[in-house]
Amino acid sequence: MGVVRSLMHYPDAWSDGDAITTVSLIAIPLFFLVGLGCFDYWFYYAAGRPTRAEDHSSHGATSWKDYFRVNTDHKVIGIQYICTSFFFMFLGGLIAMLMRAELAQPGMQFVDSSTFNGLFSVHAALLIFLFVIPVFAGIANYVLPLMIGAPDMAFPRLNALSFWMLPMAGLLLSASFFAPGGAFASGWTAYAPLSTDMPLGQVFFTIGVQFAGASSIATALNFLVTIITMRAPGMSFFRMPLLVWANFSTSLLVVIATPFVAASQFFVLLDRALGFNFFDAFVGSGKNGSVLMYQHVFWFYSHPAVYIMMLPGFGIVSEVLSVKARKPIFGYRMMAFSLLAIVALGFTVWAHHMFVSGMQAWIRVPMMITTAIIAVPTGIKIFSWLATLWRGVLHLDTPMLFALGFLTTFTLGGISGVMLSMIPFDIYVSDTYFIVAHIHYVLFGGSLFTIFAGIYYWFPKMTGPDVRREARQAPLLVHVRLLQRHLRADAPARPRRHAAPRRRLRRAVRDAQPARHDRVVRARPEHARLPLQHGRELARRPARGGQPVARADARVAGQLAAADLQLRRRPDGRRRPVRVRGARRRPRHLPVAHRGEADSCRLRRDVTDQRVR
Amino acid sequence: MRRHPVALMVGVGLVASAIGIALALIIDWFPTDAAKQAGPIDTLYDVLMIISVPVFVLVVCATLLSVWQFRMKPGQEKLDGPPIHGNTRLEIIWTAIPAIMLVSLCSYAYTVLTDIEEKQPNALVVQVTGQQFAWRYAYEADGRTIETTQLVLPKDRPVLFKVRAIDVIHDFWVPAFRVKIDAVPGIVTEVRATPTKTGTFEVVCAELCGLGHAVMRSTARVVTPAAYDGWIAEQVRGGAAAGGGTGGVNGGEDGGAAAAATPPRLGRATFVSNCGSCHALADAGTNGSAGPDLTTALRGQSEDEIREDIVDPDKRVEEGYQPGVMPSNFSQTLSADQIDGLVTYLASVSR
Repeated sequence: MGVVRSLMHYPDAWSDGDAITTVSLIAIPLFFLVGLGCFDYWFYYAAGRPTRAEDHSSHGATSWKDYFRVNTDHKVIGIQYICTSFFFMFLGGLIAMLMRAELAQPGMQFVDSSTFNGLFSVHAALLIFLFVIPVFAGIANYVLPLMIGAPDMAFPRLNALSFWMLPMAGLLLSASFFAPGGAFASGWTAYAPLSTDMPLGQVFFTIGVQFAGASSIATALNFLVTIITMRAPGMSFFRMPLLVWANFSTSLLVVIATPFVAASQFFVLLDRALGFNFFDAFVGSGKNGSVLMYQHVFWFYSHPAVYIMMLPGFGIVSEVLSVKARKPIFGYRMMAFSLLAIVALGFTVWAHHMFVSGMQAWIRVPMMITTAIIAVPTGIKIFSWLATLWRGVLHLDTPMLFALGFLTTFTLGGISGVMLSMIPFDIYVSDTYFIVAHIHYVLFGGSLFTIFAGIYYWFPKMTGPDVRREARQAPLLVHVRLLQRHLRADAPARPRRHAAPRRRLRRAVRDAQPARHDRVVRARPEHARLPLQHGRELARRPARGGQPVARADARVAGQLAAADLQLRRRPDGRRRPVRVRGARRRPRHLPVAHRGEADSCRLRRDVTDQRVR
Repeated sequence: MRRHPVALMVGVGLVASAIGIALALIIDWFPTDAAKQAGPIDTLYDVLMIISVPVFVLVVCATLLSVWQFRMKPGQEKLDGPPIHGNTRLEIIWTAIPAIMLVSLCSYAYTVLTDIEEKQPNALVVQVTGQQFAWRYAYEADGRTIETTQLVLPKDRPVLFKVRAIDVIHDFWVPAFRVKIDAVPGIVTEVRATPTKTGTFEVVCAELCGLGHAVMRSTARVVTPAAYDGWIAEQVRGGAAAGGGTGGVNGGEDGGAAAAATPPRLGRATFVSNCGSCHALADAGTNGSAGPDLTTALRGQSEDEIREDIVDPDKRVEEGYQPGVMPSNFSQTLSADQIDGLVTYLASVSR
């Protein structure tokens, strides 16, 4: 950059503090990533050293230290994502409390107005870019390959790289408080030309967003390729669990939209560092920058970003509600189509953030109509969830309560969104606390509740003790499980799937070694009658006084057998192209059933691992 | 047995909706409405609430009813719900009804929009300029441009605000008029309002514009048409005399007409049109509160110190105020004559 600046005849092109900081902020995280080993294989390749294909043989974490290294296992990366993003959630929450303390009384008490502006900007930036978006990526990283029966994500090393870009982004955003002039104080929207005119702290945001954005683009590509190419045989798109559908839609949004926020921040960076004057329209500067252009580019990302922060939550809620209501999801196809409708419509509504921005007046009307219409697919989802509850057997444990809380609070956020789409009302309330309330109902009542539902729901799976190490670590295990019970106050009343699933599995394995399907499909008679809506439950439930499902429902056993056969590999490592007739003719309700299969595949792989050893 | 709880829940829902709608309509949630535009917008809000509350109540009631009716009872641990996978008729209903509702709401909102933005024949044009962190206004009268920091509007006459910004984005908002528009550097934006009540109303900046965003306030005074004509005449006279009355007048963009006046008079006029929105000064009759009260703060300051405070405001900052709030570009935006006049004037009143 020094070269460019000196070519452009800048005064002190090499020794300008701003320029040096800008270059360092880009370079230091990159060097850190290199030092961490994220790019090792690139260097091996460049140096002509042999590179080995990732065969997932070194998977998993063997000690807690592995969580602080570059690890290519999707489960380890999922945990890394979740822990990192929760750290930044606490940071963002503390900042919110500081803000509320300051606002408790008129006038300034704790901070000055520049710090206050910095606080709400960092609060929003951290919680959006470092919490809501990545925590969903983390949860999906953990459970999505399990659900579709994939051995891992499609690009495990890219997966590790995209995780490790996140702490970099988070540290940049948080460290901006130490920059001379304070943190970036132009809001998370960083509207130009305020942001091009800010002190140095703004650069921390501009570059931090690049890292967070690159991370989520890479993850989204990874999800897309994984979902499209690595589904278990027989799992067609309309047999995928809704969580997979949700992440598929989200990844589409991310891949298309996130480059726009990156672009908008590059514009700001170029304006600041090299005087490009994209947005410089200051009176007297003689420049003809286009201020509104920033907002169009920014919101073309940042409205879809709202759906990026909601759709994975929709997926989690679909999972939790149907399992905890012990009923299949209502209207599966419409649920999937409404996700796609939200993706498509999500790109046509961005200018509703700009009703008072002074853009061409006619643009507002089509944007109002699309904004209102996007409530239709969202409404379909809400009503289908309600119908899923209807006549179910509701297990009101923690994940379920969070999911129910989501239903009601998110409805409030959605309705206020419809109110905001009405131009005359929006002209009145835009830039007021009505907007603040709306976005917090959507992101707190919507995203955060689903995140908590998901974390509580999969927490036992994520922390479940390892079969092979159980004996050695029995005392620790007791503590882990005690902790689990503290986190789920109602645990004694619910001995179901959450209680250390893999421990039971071992006994199941021992019982079922000769006939492996038997082990998986054994269940209690009352479950065997059902059309596998809780296939996963069946797969997980050990043979304890039950009879093999095969006897009660041959079709069910056939499906599971098909999945099993197809998972077996040839000696050369490729999948054996097995086609089981039963796997092709499946009843309509199979999407739910398939989840069971996918999970059971996973379990069986563990079994295979063990036997090999 | 099932029917009874449903009926009960429908009853609860109706009552809850009625209470919610009543709370929305009876309590006066908004600031006074002082413009013709406020009425339709408030009605739109009422309509939106009447539709929104029952939708919300419906979702909450359905959730509560499910929790109440279908929660797992002891002995049901192993039971599953019936395998219902969908119901096409139901799905069509809850796709179609919201779509129809939303489209009709959009049509209604569109009529409100055309209503509040209708072009009026004899609109008064007020030029509004936002800068960090003050509003300035300019009127055309008798072929002259009157510049002031106070917004005075006649009652019952449509006003067209032409809004500009000289540095970053601001947003011109009079909550009592309901309408707002961004002040965007580089372009002129427009917003219309017809004041219907006399009184003093707040002008707020609604778009984050930097350190002093919270203090970027001003007032709109709505007066009777006769009082407005009197005020304008006073401004024009004052302009001709360069500095009488409560506002200054610039004959052209470079302040040429006013330059003929004596330095203190020019200084006073410059103060009123440039500084008064932030600084109170008893002699000039201004009452801005964003910056220090110059009636007291200037006591004992030399002319050099005052000049430095104007052209380089962050060098010395009054205790209790922060650097960076006062614009640092007055040496460019004001002419040398105007700054000289300001310094002379302020030195004379602070003695």
